[in-house]
Amino acid sequence: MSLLPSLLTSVAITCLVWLVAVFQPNIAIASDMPIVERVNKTILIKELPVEHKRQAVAQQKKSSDNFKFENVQIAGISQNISLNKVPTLWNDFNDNKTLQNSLKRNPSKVFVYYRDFSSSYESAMVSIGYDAKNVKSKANVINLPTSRFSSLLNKGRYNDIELKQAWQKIDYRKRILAVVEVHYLNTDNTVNSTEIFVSYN
Amino acid sequence: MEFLTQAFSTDEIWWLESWLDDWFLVIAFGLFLLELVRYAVKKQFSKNLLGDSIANYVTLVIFIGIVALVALTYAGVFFYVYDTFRIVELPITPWTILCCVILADLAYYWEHRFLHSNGLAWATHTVHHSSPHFNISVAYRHGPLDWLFPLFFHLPLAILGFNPFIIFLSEVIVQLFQTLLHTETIKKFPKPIEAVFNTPSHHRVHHATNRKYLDKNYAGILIIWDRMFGTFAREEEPVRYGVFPRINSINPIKIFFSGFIKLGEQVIKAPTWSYRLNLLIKPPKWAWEQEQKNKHI
Ligand SMILES: [Zn+2]
Repeated sequence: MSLLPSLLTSVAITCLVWLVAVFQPNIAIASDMPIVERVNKTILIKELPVEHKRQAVAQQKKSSDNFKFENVQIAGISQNISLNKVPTLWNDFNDNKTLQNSLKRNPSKVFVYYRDFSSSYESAMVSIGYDAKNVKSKANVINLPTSRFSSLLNKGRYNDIELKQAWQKIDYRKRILAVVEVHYLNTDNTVNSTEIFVSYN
Repeated sequence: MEFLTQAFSTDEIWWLESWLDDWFLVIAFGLFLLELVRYAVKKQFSKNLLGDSIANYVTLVIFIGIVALVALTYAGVFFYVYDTFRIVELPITPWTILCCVILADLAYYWEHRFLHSNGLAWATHTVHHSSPHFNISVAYRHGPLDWLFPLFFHLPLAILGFNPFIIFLSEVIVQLFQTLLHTETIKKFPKPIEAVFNTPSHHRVHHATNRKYLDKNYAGILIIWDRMFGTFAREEEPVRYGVFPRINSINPIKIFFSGFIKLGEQVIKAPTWSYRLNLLIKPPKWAWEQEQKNKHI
């Protein structure tokens, strides 16, 4: 083969292998569930034994305390609701045709932003949204707070129990300003990995 | 099957890459000592061989020093391109790694072919080819800019959505595979292996100065690229190693900079500016032919 056909063949092979990578089967840990089912199962705060809580607080002290969302805006839906009802909000989010249709391209992540917690931490203002840069309509855009966040959970693929435990690492003795979950998505919109941050007053 | 799509963290990929890199150096050094024993038994051991091998490892040390200086910038470029221009985000799974290794191997084929195609790139790659011997220590014989050219050929992988850590791991895998090809100990593997993979036999041909072997077998892991693109040659007649002009030195500093010193001399002595440009963009054979012509005038 002479040079030009060789180069063209190489480009074709590259596209082919890339497609194989993009459409790889997605069977590890529950990631083939749609986002809504997967996250539904994760968020609720339940009591864990005291020892767990102590460990969690100790761990959290160790974790870094210097993450900031620089000018991140999210576009989606918000509601002041009981934390038990967050799954319903996920359903609303997924069913929101206006929002889903105004996406510029396949979203790479979904943010869940919790603030204004009630004193008992049973309810909060909760927003679920995409990065606003990715959405054509600029209605209902919310800024993530620019305060310092510490990481509750490093980016990775977690099962439901691990996600629940991350919430247990919050130091509930302090006043919580916000909790942000970042769910990274595969090209087929299933969750690839998750990261959780907390910011205290 | 499940294993192939298990997600990994970038930390794990980084760990795997360093682990492979370090242990391979140790294993390769062990095999090199075995090669020395074999040379001794065959009464082919010489002072020049020993000096050349030591020089090879010294160029590795200098090269690692340079890489330490540029590594952050090199990685930074990949992360910048990945963050800014990627068209999808591929998950970090063995499946993705496998695809990336295949593409990195194809990228390596073109990078390597490029290194042989012009005077500038050849000035760094000639170092790797300049040893008159062929053993595992030659795999570690590097030139000053050997880290630079891979950048351009592997960057498209970041745009395609491969995490830079996966790209670096794939580059290392392609490199390490080739390390073990630098040996005369193994004659030929069974036919199916020789058909698909790059082997010591194929790579000896690449290091040869025999006319019929010139500019052949650029492959990293898969020899199929050479077979497909018409740059394949089978090892038939015995191979003579090295480059023209011979460098006749076991001084590692001289070896390391030999390509650029030679190129510098040629550029200074060049009669015209178009000749200078040709020195940089034409294949090394061009400069050699010009010099032969001038000798006869
Ligand atoms: Zn070469």
